[in-house]
Amino acid sequence: MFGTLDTSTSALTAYRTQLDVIAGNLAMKDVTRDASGNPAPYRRRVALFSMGRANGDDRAGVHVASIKEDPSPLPLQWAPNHVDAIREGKNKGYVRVSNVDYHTEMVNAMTASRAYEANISVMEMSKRMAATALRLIA
Amino acid sequence: MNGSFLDSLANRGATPALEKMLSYSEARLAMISENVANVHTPGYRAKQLDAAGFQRALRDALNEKGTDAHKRLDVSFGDQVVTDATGRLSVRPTEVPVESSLLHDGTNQSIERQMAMLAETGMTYELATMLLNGSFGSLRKAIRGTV
Repeated sequence: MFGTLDTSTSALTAYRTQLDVIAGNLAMKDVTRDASGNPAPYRRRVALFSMGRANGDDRAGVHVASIKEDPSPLPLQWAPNHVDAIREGKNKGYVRVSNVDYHTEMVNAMTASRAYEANISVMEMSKRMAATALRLIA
Repeated sequence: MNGSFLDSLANRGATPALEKMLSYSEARLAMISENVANVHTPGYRAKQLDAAGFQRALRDALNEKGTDAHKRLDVSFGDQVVTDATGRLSVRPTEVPVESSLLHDGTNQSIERQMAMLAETGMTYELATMLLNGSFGSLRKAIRGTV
């Protein structure tokens, strides 16, 4: 019964991590430079889910195996007055921006929070069942 | 059963069947929690338990046991449910076959089904504990000798 709670907890942690990643993506959508100030548009991050609990514990559960960068191409945005605008070539006047898409992120955030809720429901049920079983003794 | 007085008291009437129902529901909850935890995991295959099949097996086992308080209730149902040597129920969910609806991420899950099963499992568990409470209550009354 308490193992069931751990299974659901692992899922809560995983979905919380996914939401963190989504929050990071949304926050850094307009970033065109890296931490040291060199032009490098932000690449969208994705949380990859894997079966079993974290740290090689293969009991029932789920965990975020890794957080990877989305390799999809960085789109060009027309902004000739931007300091990071491309100066020459056929893309002159465009800026390379991050590949974060608001719609994708919002849909993913909704899915993650629904999955979080589903796991909370399972936890509530485990708790209720444990409580009824304990009432047998008391 | 070693045939002690209390064992034969606890192995009478509906008590052993209710005990099996509780173990089964607990295992089913563990399965559901795993399925729900992995609802978005790529490549995860949902697990399943045939509850109707278990209930048929339980009925057959009850018929076989009869009213003999010294006979163990031996429920077994295919690969999923086995009663081991100590009389404990061991439940092993099987994977849902791939033929059923397969999503593009390699999973075959339906969260709606899982949540419906969750509610069903919770109610079954509550029912079994309620009935068990009733049979323990009448036992307690018999011990005290007062109503």
